[in-house]
Amino acid sequence: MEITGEIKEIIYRNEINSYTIAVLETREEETTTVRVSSFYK
Amino acid sequence: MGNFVEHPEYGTQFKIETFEKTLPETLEGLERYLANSNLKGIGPATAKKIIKQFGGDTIHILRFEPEKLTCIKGITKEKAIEASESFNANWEIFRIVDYLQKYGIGPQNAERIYKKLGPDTIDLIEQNPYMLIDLVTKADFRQIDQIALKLGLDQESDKRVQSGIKYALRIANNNGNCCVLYENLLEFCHELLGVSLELIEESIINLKALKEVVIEDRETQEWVYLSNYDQAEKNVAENLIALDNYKNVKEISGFDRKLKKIEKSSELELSDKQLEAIKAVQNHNVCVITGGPGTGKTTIIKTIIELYKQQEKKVVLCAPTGRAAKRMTETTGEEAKTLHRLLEIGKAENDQMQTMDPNVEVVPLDADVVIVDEMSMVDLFIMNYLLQAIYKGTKLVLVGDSNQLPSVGPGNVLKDIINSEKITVVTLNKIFRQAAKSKIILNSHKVNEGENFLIQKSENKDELIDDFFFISEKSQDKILETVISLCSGRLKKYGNYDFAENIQVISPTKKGMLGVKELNKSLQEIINQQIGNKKERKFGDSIFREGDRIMQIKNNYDIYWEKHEPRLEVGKGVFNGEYGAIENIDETEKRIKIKFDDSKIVWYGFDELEQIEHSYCITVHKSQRKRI
Repeated sequence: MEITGEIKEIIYRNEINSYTIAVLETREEETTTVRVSSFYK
Repeated sequence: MGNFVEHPEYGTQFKIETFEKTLPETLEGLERYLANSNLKGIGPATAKKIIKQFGGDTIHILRFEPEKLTCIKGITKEKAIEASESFNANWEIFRIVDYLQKYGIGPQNAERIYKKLGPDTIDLIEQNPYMLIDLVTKADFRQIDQIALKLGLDQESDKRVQSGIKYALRIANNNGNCCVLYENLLEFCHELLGVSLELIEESIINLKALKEVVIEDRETQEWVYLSNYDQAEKNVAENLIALDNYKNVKEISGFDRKLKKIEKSSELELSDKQLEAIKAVQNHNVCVITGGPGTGKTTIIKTIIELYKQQEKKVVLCAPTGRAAKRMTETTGEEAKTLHRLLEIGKAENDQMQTMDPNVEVVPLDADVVIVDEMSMVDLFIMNYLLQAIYKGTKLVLVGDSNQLPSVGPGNVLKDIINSEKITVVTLNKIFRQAAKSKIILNSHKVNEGENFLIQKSENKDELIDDFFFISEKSQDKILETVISLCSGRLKKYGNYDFAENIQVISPTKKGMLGVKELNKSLQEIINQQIGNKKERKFGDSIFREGDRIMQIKNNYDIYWEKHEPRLEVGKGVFNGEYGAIENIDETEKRIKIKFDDSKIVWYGFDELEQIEHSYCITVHKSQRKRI
């Protein structure tokens, strides 16, 4: 599934493995996203 | 791309698998992006002005025509170029981070690779993915190889075979070895690369010609080094010999008389071996003092300090770990520092030290005598930096137990120095009266001598302390059962064996049912059960719970601490090998309160928990830093 949006807020970020939890604002709603990587620099 | 998943605590989340970064679609979005992207010289106000001026052309201007930014008040040509470079770098690093993920390379390395290769990073890696082996210390050759072969690189190409060889040497280095036997290297690479032995041999010769590896003939065998390891070994050997051969300018006149005076005033009776050790320090610029537990090393260090301090000479004390430095401070009453701190290389990364990066500069030591304790834990590169920092004429005293496990880092420096027979070594073999009553100490000496353990009932009970038991068991389940029963009360009949205060479980390995990880989980469930709603925090595979015993596993020079007893005190720094217990987990502030055994209270953010581990069970290596 593909979603597109703008990062609104970074809730948590682990500096070592870059596990990140963020709020992504899409056209329809706000979604909590999680990912391990330097997703948001 | 990804999927919606249901988190038991936090509800619906979108779990991202792959992503693509796109530019903001609206000008408002672009303005927010510019204001928040840490672009040099662009804050919210300037971002607003740029968008107002250039609107939809903003990206093009920033990327390709930054000089046009100078029409905005406050932006000079230099500032415009800087902002453009910063914008492009941000953009590139992001692309590279994403690109390198398929090679198994994380974001921290991605940024470093970009700094080395610049804007053409991706093109350069596409042409030769094997260069990643040189750029990232722990890169996975197999993963890189798979992609490179798919990209069409020849299986027998020089680049591939040479990288495979360097990868093999790096694995050996990561396991603590400085070099590898030629035959073993051939065999490993043959299996790794699936190419002929002749081709591997040819590539080793080419790497030698390129000065990337060194082949050393020793007796009948050939050993292969990565050249920086060979260089570090040579530096250490040459600097040690040069230091030792230098004039003995710190010799104390009237030494015997002054030593006797100290013996008398401190009511010490030094053994012959201890006197020999102290005289070795007087007569040589470099000397090694080695001996097992209870052989009187600390008394020697204290006497040397006293002797030289009375002559107004400066004695500098250091040790390889924070814990060892702290113990040295406690036993001598003088400040001891970690080698990293003493040399001011605390912030240098391991691969910077191992490549002997010229940016890592050590601070020359202002000292007449340098004493290094727990020398068995000093690795090759730290030793190399230490010797660079010592002025000729300074005395260097290396103290340690050569029978302890070698350093985690590469090399077996203490043992190699002793075996070289080029440096004066005093081996302490007398166990002092107090220590001689302990079966633990007696048995540690017996193991070194290849003899059987003393076990209870076999010796005169009145003389020896009952502190050593040997339980023979082969089944893993039964061993686990025994460890748990010993820790949960069975030892109480022998004294106050409260787990937190007086028991430490040690395992030789991290993995497996009897490894540190599993034993910690099993012991946590027995020693600190989840009862009465103790708060918990999951981190990786571990669950940290209020009441848990923990250990700091890296040096953190900057973390703030406070002590409330015996008096209020504040400071900075917690070191690898310090032990404590979790007092409180604060979900609101997202932090954990730890009280260390020396009463330091420290708060760790939930994102800082990689610095601690459970310590119900620790590895043999870690235990060498702990006095139990």
